[in-house]
Amino acid sequence: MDSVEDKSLVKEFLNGNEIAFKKLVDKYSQKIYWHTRGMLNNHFDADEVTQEVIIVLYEKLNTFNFESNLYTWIYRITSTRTLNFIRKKKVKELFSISDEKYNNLESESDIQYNYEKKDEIERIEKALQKIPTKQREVFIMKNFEGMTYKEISEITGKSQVGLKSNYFHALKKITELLDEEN
Amino acid sequence: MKKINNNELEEIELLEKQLSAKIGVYRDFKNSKNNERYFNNLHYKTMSNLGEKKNNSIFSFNPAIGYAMLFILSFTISLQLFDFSDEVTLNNESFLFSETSLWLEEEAYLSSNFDGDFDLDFTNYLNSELNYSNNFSLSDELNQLSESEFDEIYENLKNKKIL
Repeated sequence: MDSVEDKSLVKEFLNGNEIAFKKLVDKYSQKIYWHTRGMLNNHFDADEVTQEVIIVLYEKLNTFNFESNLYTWIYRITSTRTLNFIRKKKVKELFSISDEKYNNLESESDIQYNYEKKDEIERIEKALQKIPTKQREVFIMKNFEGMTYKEISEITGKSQVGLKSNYFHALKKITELLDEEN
Repeated sequence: MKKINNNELEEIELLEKQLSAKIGVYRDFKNSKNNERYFNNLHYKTMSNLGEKKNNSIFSFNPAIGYAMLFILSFTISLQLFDFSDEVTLNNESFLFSETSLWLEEEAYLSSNFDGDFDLDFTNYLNSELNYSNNFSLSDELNQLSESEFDEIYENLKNKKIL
């Protein structure tokens, strides 16, 4: 990641240049979305959390201290917001509160609707949902985002040893689950 | 946390290789150009939603302000009720209205249940009530309390945030 360019964009934005913020969003929105998408397994929730993260960035970029990498900072916010979303969803499910706002949405709204290998993607997403949240998170960061254990540790605040163990278990389970489906 | 040994590291590499082909389709999907439209609009969509949210919040009810108003209102009422001056500060007009209406209801009830009209002497009753109110002093009551009893009442009021 080009941290010099990032810091320059942040400074420009803090000086009132909205275009600089758009550049940051264009640069990071896909990473935010795909992390949340992998964690939440549907477009609507991922879209909601992605927008939430962008709004947090817009409102809190003035608190960024320029000591850490912007990429790490954004990923930390994304990870926290996604995990909070999962917790809230669990509570809603406990009290049988459904998200009616999505009931009227057609599947065409989903980003993958026109993708030719839709079934295969759904199989992978379903397998991801079957593993524990901690394992899923490290699997997505390591396997899909290509992060190192050190980077993941900086974002999640967990030890590298623990992360390696989680990743190992995640890999084994995902492989088993995908083999079962075949 | 158990450390990963060399065998497990080898197993990780092997599993990654096995999975690579299977999840390759997901990587392709992530990088698909079909998604560009969504991501190109994301900034505009989010900023529009943020603007809308801010506009709505100006006109919408803010629970924090609501609670603050409720607190001020209840505090004001508490001050009226817990006036520790020499006299009870019940508003005499509302007191009269309340008592009169009850009295009239009583009169109407008696008239409907018994033959003939009932003309109750409520003027005399009200005068005695007013005299009692004027002479009654809460501070006298408080003075009669022991120190520990007073402390208990004070702490109770404080805990309930009335004070």
